[in-house]
Amino acid sequence: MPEATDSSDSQINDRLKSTLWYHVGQLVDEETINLGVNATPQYIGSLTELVWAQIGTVATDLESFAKHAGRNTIKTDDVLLLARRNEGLESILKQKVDEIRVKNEQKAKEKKDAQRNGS
Amino acid sequence: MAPPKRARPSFSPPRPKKSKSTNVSTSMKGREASWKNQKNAAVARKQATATSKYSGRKGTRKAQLSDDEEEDEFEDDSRNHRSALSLVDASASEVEDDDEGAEASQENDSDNSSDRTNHDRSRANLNSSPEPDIILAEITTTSTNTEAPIPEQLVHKMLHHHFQKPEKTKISTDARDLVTKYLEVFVREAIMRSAYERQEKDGHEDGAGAGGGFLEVEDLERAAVQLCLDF
Repeated sequence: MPEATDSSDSQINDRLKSTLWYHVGQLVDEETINLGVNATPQYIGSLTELVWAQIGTVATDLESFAKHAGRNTIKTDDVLLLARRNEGLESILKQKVDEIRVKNEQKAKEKKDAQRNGS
Repeated sequence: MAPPKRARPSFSPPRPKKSKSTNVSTSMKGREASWKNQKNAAVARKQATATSKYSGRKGTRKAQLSDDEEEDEFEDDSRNHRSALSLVDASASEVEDDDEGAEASQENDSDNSSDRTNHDRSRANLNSSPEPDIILAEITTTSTNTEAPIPEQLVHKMLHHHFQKPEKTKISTDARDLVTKYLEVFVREAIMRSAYERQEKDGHEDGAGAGGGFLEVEDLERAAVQLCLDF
């Protein structure tokens, strides 16, 4: 029984990794064209591994941050904490937070309008 | 104007519409187009007269006037052939050709499809049909247009996979989008830093193009140390 769950777990692992590989590859293609360089497939593979490891640490960090705040749900504040030592990154993420907020407000407004029109 | 050699149904490639929809197309498409063009160069030369007749028949007087220079251009390499075609196209559809680069690459795609179609009608033996080309162009457009290079769903799954208590911990959609952005910045930064490392290395060794401009694992290895400290 544990063997079966193990194999399915590693299968999920592999599939997530290969999907990530594909998308990292696309990003690499996009960037390398802009930079006028090329990337070896090995490069894309190792970059995928790096991103995968980073996602692992990010996931546990976020979980701990949320837990520390007494929550079970990870919020944007927790993600901003990830970038606490990198000012440039923090400003980028804050900008993104503002974008998301504006989008959510717009959506809420549209919903309200729709409800008003409906009632 | 001499009558066309073969009776063909009027061919109307979706040029104006296509150029609008592919406005965001990046150099990726250009590269692909040039690759396709190289492949098609022989066919294009063969079809030169046919194509010019087509544009003359369908286009305006201006297009007919430019037939001569077009045919001259066709004798040259595929690059010239492209610019000639885009010139004719611009005059035929009376589109103003303001930004050369983007316009040219857009015209390329439609020209390619027209080339392919012509070639298909003449039944020369290149072993690919016109459909894959068109589909390929569409795929590249959609892939360059997608907002998030790494899909949010995937990020969600991967995060969940790594949680200590996956059954308990949840993540809000806003936070998920933010993590997606974070990862995108991470990947882009990694590539930028690797490219910088590669440049440095090429600078130390004499030949600037010794590495062929290929990012390799060792470039990533050198960049990764500081990258991981910064993120």
